[in-house]
Amino acid sequence: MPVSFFDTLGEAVTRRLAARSSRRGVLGRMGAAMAVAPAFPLLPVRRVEAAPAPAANPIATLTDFERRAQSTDPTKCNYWRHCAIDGVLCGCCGGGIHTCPPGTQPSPVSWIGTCRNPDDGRSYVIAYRDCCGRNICAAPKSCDCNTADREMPIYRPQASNDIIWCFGTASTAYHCSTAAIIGQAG
Amino acid sequence: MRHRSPILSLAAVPVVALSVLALLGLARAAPTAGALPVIPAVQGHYLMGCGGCHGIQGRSGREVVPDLAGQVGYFLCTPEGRDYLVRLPNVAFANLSSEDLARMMNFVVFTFGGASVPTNSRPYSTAEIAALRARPLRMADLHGYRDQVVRAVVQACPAAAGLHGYDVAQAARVGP
Repeated sequence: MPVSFFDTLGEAVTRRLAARSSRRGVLGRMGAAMAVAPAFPLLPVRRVEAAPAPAANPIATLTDFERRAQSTDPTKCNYWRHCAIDGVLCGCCGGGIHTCPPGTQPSPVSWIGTCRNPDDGRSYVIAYRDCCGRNICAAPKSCDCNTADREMPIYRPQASNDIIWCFGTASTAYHCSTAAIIGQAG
Repeated sequence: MRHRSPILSLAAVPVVALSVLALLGLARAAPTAGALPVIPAVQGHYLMGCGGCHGIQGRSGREVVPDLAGQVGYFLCTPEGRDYLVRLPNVAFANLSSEDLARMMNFVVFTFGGASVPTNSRPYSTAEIAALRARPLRMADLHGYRDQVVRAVVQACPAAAGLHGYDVAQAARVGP
């Protein structure tokens, strides 16, 4: 039977140690402690200390969107930054999560909200900006999103996604929507 | 006599495995948080309530929405101008306590306003904000009122002439 690489390595290391050191029992026990320690979860006290500082959203108050949010595919409605986006994702239309597709221009105005990143549990400030100047993007149905975390009706226009934000652009035709991160909410 | 300690070679496994993972770049990437600025509460209130249109740094391309950076402080040149900023409906009706609104207005006026703030201007107090937001602007012709306020401001502080840029652009949109 061929000897595995790890076996050879382990033997070489052990033999060298054994040849050069006394109190080999102690070394063995230390090795055991090192190998076994990660298998035990840390005590809760320690885990509280290690937790990222003030998490804005305790788990108990997560919205439905936040419970289902993912952080791997930005071309899906449940990508965490899309917690309050109403429209077609620019990532499905030749643009990106913060870039407009060719032939369109970003609206100078947008609305700004916050979304929770499931990776670190923190809230981030997101600017929802529309890309304007071409007819609405013909993307698969899965790219057409309508989520509403902390969104407000249009009587609070600065927090509403029901508005087409293509003001001040050469054309007011709506094409798609982006969701750029501005920073981490303090 | 034991020839080798299996426990010791076990201990080597995670170390070797981790280095191999790191070398392959498979170790979990650091979260995006590291490089991003942490936004203080007062700036957060500005961003949520105003920053979408007035710009993250208070710059909005002044013809569509008035720029705040480098010019909002001029409104403190006249008492009417000072009141105007708080009596604007989106400010007066903001979803904030008067204390938070006072902090936010002082951030906007003194931080974004920079050199446009007249010397010896005092910050807004909570009581002043509470009184002003109780009498929001009610006229239908808000642009007309703004134009009137800006004229008085420019008369008191000639350096504020740039404020008219928005009024001129607005008049052009509406037509004669």
